[in-house]
Amino acid sequence: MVQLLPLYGAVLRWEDAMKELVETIVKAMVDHPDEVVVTEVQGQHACIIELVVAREDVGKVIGKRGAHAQALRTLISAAGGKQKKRYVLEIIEDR
Amino acid sequence: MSEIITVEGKTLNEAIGRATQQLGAVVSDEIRYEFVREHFRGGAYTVQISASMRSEEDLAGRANLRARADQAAQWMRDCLNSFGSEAQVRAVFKSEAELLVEVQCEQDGRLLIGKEGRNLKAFELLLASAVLDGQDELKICLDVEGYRSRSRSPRRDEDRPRRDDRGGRGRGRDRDRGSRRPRREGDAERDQAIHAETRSAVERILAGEEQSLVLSEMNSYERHLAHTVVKEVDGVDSRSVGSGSDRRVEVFAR
Repeated sequence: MVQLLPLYGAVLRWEDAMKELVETIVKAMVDHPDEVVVTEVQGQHACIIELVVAREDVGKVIGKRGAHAQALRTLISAAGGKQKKRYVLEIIEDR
Repeated sequence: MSEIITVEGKTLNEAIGRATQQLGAVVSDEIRYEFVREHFRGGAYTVQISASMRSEEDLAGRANLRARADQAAQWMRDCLNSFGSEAQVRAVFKSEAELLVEVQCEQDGRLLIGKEGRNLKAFELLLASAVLDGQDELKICLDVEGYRSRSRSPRRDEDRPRRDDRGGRGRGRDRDRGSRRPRREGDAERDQAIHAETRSAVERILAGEEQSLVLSEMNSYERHLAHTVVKEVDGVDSRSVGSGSDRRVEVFAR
């Protein structure tokens, strides 16, 4: 059964909401927002969120000593906790 | 150089409103003001400010800051939208160098804050990276349901004065009052201001303008100074009135 998320009158799937969250955060952070692609891969135990960004933006997404990536994972796991699902973030460099 | 005026009001807002009108500005944002002093005259409180028109550059800078605040608030709204949380977001400048983004959320407050504020810190870091460009001197502070103001995180502990910095605190019945208004022993400028205020009150009473006057808010040491000044003059006397942080010196004709 697909879980639905009530949202200001509209209805979003949880996975779509998660993709939107990652997109919103990352697009505001990078120099090439057009090249940001977020896809989800349904695993057996967890949903994998694949984040593809331009080569020049990888450093920004990861941040100093991985601070931004860690913060992003913290928020994804918090949002996942709300729907009792596990999400894993993979950052992929665009070639 | 633009004209500088000095105006008074019963409240700060009233003083700003008068300054805006006198300078011919349309909105109060167009003026720059500085607090001059506050005082009690015949038991009535007044505040005095000096004000001038802001320069074009200054106004452009403020418009830029407002745009930043709007951008930060919008980013936060978008994130909370995706998070599935209904919340009120407000971005206000605490000073020209510090932007406070406040989130009021009925349902998901605890989730947005996280264990020991982890989620809140993550949001704050990502918000800063989204709004600031790295060379900014602006600092962004995010607060959810007033968590920051009531939390006792290590960061706030660092902000507290160390035992050595506390001066005369921790003794006698002024211990609590001391934490709000630190003693000013050794602050010559402040001492002179106390002397001047007390002497002016004494002169007005001796001239027969007033029967009694209540001086501005002072801590115990400052009240002691005021009483000492009054004691040296014949025909007037003083006593402390009120309680707690509102205890003030009243000078009256003997």
